[in-house]
Amino acid sequence: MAGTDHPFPENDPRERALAERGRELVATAVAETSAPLALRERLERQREGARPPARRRWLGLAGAFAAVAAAAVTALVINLGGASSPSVLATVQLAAPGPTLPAPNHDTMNKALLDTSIEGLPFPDWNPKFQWRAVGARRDEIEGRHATTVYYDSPIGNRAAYTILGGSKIAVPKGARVVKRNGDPFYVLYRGGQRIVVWDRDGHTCVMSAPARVPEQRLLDMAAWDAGGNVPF
Amino acid sequence: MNTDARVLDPAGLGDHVDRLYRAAWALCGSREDAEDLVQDTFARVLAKPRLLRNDDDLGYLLRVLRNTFVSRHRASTRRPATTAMPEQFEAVDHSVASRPEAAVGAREVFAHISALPEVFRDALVAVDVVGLSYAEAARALGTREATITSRLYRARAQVARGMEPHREGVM
Repeated sequence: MAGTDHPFPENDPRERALAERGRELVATAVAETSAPLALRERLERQREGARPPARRRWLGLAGAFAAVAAAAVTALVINLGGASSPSVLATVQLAAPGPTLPAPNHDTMNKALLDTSIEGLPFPDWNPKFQWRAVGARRDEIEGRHATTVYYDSPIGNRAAYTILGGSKIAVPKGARVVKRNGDPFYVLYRGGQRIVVWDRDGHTCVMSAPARVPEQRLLDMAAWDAGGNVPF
Repeated sequence: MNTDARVLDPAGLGDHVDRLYRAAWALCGSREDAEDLVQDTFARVLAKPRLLRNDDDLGYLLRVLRNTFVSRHRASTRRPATTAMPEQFEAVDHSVASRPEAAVGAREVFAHISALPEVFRDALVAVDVVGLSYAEAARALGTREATITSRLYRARAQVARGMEPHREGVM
């Protein structure tokens, strides 16, 4: 554009220093910024809501009968509670503000467990085995379901948030990678600098999130740990 | 006929959210507007199958983001002005919530980028914020690599100059 693209004053040491300083400032801001989980959540819904054209054509050709049938199916899903299921990313977001309750105590009857649970499903005590100590907890409600989160800290200060959702299990986000442990599927994904593991225990969805610097194997080891059958799955 | 044409895979959009969000913030100067802009961009891209020619996904998405930004800006100048939300009501960004000093630094930098003259801002967003090469940025912005180099140099210097008074106050 005229008036803006003059030969640049590379020979001016002050300008050169300023340009380098500007590059560093921008690089730092970029490194420290990632998209909020809530935005990712909305985008994911947006993408899943965008149906391929072929399906729209099918719906058009099938006419009123198909539309009525689809409506009936939708109503059935709503009655079963499927349509009101929270998403995994929304569940991760619940834990973001941090603990509001004190750390749960050990279960005196079972050394592998803490004395807190949701709908009868207890949280594990990872301290003896992994040295990840329970440091706090919180209880929330999401889409009409209860959710309990326990926070665990590692010896070097990494924090994992482990949330168990009440009610039946929810869908795993598309794009999650499946890893088998003890024959059970564990789903791993990475969002906003967080490593997220999703799995099923006794029909409930469990969601664990931790900074991406925590090795995936460590999170999977903890998630899949059943203490020889003492942690119910 | 161009044999390199291909359809953009919507499943891969999630890989670019962070970069598009940063680019949107640098264009708008506000986190809230940036979120809206990224959503509008996704809505545009997902509205129909997108055929890409000689384009990488990111370069194409940056172009759509920028076009959406320009359209929104034009539309907003035709609407009556509304009162901005007070700063204390700003939504919490959990991605930087544990490092408040980082959030403030990034906010200042992105605000300065958004205030740059358009051609400088676009070059800086394409290369330094989104991470395109000079060649990719030139293609995405429809200009020459040498022009990108020149604009980028000036844009970086202007950002640093704009940040100087703030830094003197805290150092």
